[in-house]
Amino acid sequence: MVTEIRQLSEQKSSDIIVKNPRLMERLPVMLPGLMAHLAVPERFMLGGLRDGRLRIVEPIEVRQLVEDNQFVLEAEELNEFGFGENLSEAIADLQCAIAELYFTLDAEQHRLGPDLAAVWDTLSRKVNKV
Amino acid sequence: MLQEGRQLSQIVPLLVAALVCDTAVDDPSTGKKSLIGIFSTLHTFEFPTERPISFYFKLVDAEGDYEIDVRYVQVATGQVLANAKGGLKSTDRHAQLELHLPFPPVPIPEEGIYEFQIWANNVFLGSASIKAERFAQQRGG
Repeated sequence: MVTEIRQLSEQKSSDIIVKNPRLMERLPVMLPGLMAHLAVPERFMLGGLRDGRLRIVEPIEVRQLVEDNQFVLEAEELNEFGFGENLSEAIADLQCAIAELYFTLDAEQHRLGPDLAAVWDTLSRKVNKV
Repeated sequence: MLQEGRQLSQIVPLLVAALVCDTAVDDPSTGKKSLIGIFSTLHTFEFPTERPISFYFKLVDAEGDYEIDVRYVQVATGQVLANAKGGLKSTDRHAQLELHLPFPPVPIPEEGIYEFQIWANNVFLGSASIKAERFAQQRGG
């Protein structure tokens, strides 16, 4: 893999940072035009669930919105939501919700009504057990 | 980076590991990777500050061409403070792909959580986070 970041020379590391050495002088080397860009676009594709039992084999489209100062993520095709004070929390919440939905529908798949059966059809196509 | 017009893979790789550490070393004779100083919390006397960080991750079940984008994000604001992009080609779906990225000193503007997000072909695969805290000074007398 070829990265666009600068290679570092070997240096001593510590997790206690004592000084604040000229922060901005050294940043432009690695941050051309990227400062202050938002990490996650309004719509993005989710490819992981943070659950070792499951994997996404076909990305799930996610839409983000902000309601009452809370981040809300919606997986429209699954009618599932994630909430959080920031995007990362909302992503983690959505991942957890989708995993829970998977196991719930998997256990009940023979007793589902038409709406949930359609959700299960989509979910089981996009998510597999590992 | 991949050349224009090249078909990107539709296969979603599985992220099996993502770790933040001081540095990572490749053994040139074996290709083995050694991660040194894995951490999840860092302490500093003052903000803003900066710190060099290495980020390691492992993917499995990847096949074809990928555009990998690792974004260093301040969680509270959602802003990308740094990133690393590159092309990745996998010809063996059973291969385990290990990558480590030695970031130059990255900004840590304030206390809080920062994460490294892994995107492959604009699909979010996962992340690893670190927590930045103010160092509690011991004061005598």
